[in-house]
Amino acid sequence: MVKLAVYIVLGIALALLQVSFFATLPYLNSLNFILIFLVYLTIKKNDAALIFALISGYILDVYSSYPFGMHILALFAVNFLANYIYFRILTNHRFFPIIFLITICIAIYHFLILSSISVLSFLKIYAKTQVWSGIVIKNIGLEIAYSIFFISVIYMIFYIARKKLNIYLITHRKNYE
Amino acid sequence: MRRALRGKTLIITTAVFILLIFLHSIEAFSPIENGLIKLFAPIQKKFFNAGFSINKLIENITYKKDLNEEDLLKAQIRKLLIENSELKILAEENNLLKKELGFTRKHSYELVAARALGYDSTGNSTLIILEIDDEKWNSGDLSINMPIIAEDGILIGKIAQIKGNQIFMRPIVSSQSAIAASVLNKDSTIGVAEGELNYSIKMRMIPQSEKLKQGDLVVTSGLEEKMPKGLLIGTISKVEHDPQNPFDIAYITPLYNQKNISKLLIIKSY
Repeated sequence: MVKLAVYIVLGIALALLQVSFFATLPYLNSLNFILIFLVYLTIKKNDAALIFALISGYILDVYSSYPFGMHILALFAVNFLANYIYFRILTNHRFFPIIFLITICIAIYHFLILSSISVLSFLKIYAKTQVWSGIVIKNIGLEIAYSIFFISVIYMIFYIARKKLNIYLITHRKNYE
Repeated sequence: MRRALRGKTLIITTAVFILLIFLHSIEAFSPIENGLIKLFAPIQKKFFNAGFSINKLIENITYKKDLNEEDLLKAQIRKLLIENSELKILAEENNLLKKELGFTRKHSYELVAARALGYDSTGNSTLIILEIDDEKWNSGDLSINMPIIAEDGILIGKIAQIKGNQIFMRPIVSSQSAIAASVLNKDSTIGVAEGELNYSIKMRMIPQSEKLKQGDLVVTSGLEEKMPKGLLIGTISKVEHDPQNPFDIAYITPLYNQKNISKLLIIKSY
């Protein structure tokens, strides 16, 4: 129960930070931290991933000019697809498969939102909006590139830290023995 | 067993999603959403201001400029440009020049104060979320396409969407922005100022016979609904002249500071 509450608070906090803080900063405004964290929770087989997707998706929908439900739908879909791709298709769970997974997830997330808007515009449920343009494609490409860079940095930090910790533990044990 | 569990989760998730959409469509969530927006507004203001402060700090470190002096000069240029445009417009309309008494009193616009809270959560959007900062008004009093200005009268954008208590502003530099504009030159050239790549403004379809030069002021022409005449947009930075093309293109540098848009004014009527 406490764990669930933590993920609910985390979902709200990350969504607010995304809308009001990261969006004002250069480079960071191209990153979708909610999506990255959701993929992380999914590959860690965390049960709270769906709750996190629901809460953060809801907050993003509240602060979106697009019709309600777009972000919840996209985050749910990303959760299921990431789960399927990572555990069923990818046999190797090291660095490059994670990079591949994040690229696919970002592409799917934007494709779902933009195609939903196109369909709603076509059905005249939502005002006619030009969603597919060169700038949009460029922005998605930039988001993928920055996300890969960000994940690579995080991965390297953890990799080096783990290696150093292992060396320390081994030498420490030897001294102890 | 695991497959059955996954199927069950998928069904429950779909059901929850459909239920959410249904409840939202009958406005069952409106009180919750309004409460959340009110609850989170102070936190968002802090996040937004912190973001801009960091941004300014980064800019300061990157360019190593004396920002105090630069800001002072920029402010002086802005003030002079505003005064210049106003004088030209007043002369054009054959009115008497009055002493500067502050923007709001001079123009007698009905203004609604607003504050920026953040950016539209949809990554590819350039819209800015605003919150009304005036107890007298609510979002129901406003409508789409109302102009939004800075305190010194520089046009920043227009209302793009109103969703409950939230107002979404489209900045003039946004790719989907279009403003009926005129250049304060001899010919009083008119055209449409379109935003470009969220950075600058372009004015197309200018006949080659019109004489434009760098530094000319661009203001709103007042030819569109809800938009008063004479709101300052920017200055011409470059004129693209192609002998093969019957029309020129003017590039406009906006006068508002994109990094200082926390306090805004919406022109309700004029």
